[in-house]
Amino acid sequence: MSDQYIAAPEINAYDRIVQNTQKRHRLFSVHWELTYRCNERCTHCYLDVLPPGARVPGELSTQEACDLVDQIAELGALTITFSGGEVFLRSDLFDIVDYARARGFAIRYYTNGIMVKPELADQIAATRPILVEVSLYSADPAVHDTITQIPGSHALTLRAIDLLTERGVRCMIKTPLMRENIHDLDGLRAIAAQYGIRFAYDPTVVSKHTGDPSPLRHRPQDDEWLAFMRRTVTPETWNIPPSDDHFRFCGIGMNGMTIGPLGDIYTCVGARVYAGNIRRQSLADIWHNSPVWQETASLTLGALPVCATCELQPFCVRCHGAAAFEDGDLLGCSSIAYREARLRRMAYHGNMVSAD
Amino acid sequence: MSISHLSPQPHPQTAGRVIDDEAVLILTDVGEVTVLNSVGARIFELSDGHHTVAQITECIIDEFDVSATVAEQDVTSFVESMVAQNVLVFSAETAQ
Repeated sequence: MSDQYIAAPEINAYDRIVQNTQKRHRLFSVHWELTYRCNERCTHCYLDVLPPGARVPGELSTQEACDLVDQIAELGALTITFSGGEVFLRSDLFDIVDYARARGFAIRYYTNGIMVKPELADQIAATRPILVEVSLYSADPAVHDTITQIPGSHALTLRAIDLLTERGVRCMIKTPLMRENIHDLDGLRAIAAQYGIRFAYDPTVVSKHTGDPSPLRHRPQDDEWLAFMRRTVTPETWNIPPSDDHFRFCGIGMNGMTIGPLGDIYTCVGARVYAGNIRRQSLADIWHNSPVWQETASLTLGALPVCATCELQPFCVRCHGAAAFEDGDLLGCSSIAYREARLRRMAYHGNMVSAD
Repeated sequence: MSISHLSPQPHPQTAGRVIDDEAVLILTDVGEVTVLNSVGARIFELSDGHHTVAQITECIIDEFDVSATVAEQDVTSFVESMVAQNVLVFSAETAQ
């Protein structure tokens, strides 16, 4: 009898609800960069991070952050991802997270893990996160430490995974795909497997949001990329997306937002289209009245004339932010997405022929 | 043992939000998602540590087309099931 109040047996009830939040512009998830201070100096980072001890006038206070948690709850969101910079540099982090948990939020952390010692691991575990995503860039300590510019950081990050998984905290190892690790993703996968945790990679390094292109030197060369895609892009693994006018490359503007350390509200981490600041407007006002949500949510294939007629669209994983930051036009062709799509198509067709 | 005098509240592992008429619950320790229909969502909403099971039952009788006998049986059974699954916990014995 008791199960009559559970929406099963509809297996996809959760997916249906998330899709409804997208259609109805209802806030569901928030990515919150609590600080731009960081204790690593990763050479591929898309943020211009600040030293760990920097005084940052204007970072949201604990009280402001908790008020903002209330406002996010009022808008009906369920998940908050706490990120940085390095999020554990916020000395009041657990005041904010505990408050968010008490307001019913499911939380996730993004971290490099190098501050995680037993006591901090206990604190993290006590907040019962749904996931801790830990950045690890190579199985080779020398490669990882060169990217972070912090000697010994590889060992410290592994220590964090050790301590967290020992405490039953669900972790995931993640990395962007870079020249430095494209040949060794199996090494990272093996580390994840050793801990019994997931591994994920992001295919694209992006420029800094200031426009500084220095992270782009980490992008693999075409031959490296093609060799990688030949191993990973097959008719079995690559789902050709629909080519109708309503197709979306991503969920920008629909049911999520990104919050910066100073209270700036953006559409998402990638495109960072500015929607307002919570010190000048309520979050509800920004969410309901800023025009950027509608403008960006309308970026379907039909609204992107270059993409709509592009033969590579079935193989393209365009980020509107990359088009804006690197190519100067949010609506135009993303040159990096085009380049990747061309290689992906080659790999796909090559594997189709092999399969035949 | 009757639970009518006890006040359920979300278990520390439970994250949840009522969205439209349904409740989406994430059980963080086990990594599972549960979706409750409108009656379940209302019971979850009222499980705030301040309403007893008896009070929750009264609300359900008032707000939904259900007899007192059926509501008492169903709400009790539902809350017991949610407590057994560590979705809810009775406020006097909050689990650590």
